Amino acid sequence: MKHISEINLQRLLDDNLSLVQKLICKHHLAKCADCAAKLEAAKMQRQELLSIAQDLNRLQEAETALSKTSILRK
Amino acid sequence: MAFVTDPNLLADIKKGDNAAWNLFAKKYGALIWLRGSDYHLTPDEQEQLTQDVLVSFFKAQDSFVYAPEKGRFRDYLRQIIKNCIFQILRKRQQDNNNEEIQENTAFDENDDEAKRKREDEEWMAHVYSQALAELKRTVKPRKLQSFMMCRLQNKRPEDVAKFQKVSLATVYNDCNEVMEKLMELVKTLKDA
Repeated sequence: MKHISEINLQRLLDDNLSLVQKLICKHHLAKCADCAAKLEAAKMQRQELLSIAQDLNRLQEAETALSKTSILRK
Repeated sequence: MAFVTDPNLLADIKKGDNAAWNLFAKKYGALIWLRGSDYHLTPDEQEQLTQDVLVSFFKAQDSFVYAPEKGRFRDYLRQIIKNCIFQILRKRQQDNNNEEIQENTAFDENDDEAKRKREDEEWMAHVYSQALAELKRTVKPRKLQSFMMCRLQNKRPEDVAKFQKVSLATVYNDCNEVMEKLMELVKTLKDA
């Protein structure tokens, strides 16, 4: 049984597969627990990254504020 | 600048290397600053906190031994930050009311759990920030930009492909490659 590639899992999440590819993937996912788990993990990883992106913005704001102090200028 | 892992950086600090000190301040300064904002410190107090933590760390450098098996560096840093925040809040309260600080105003147990969660999230952001800085050195700018646009800014891959003037498949390949490298770096840095 050929598993779904990482890239196709990502494409599936974005709804960026052709209709035929999508049907093949869905058919495979229905009977392959490994790929179904990978798809779920990829979905969660995306959500985590978006949440981290918000904290990265806060960290960047802190860096900007810090750069205006004498702490890093000396 | 070479990628400096915490043990290397800490070893250089112990040797009294000025560049290592600056790197340390740059590396952890924003994180310390952010911790202050979680305790609602004013910008002046946040600056004070960052200085206090760096000074505390500087004073403790001779006695500090990096021994990951005994405890994580982040926990050591967390404790220093917490102590310094407590001192600042104590001073604030004394200045304002000349009263003794009540620990539960700043270190309430229920609140503590939420703050601990924020702390973990901020540490992860710090780790990702370090990992992304390393990737900037080692990965083609286009690949990293595609990844950041798709995965951090949530832009549609089709739009990113148009913006980068590459195929959609290239965008997915780039994102996949960067993601693998990022996860490897994060794994290494996470528990330092």
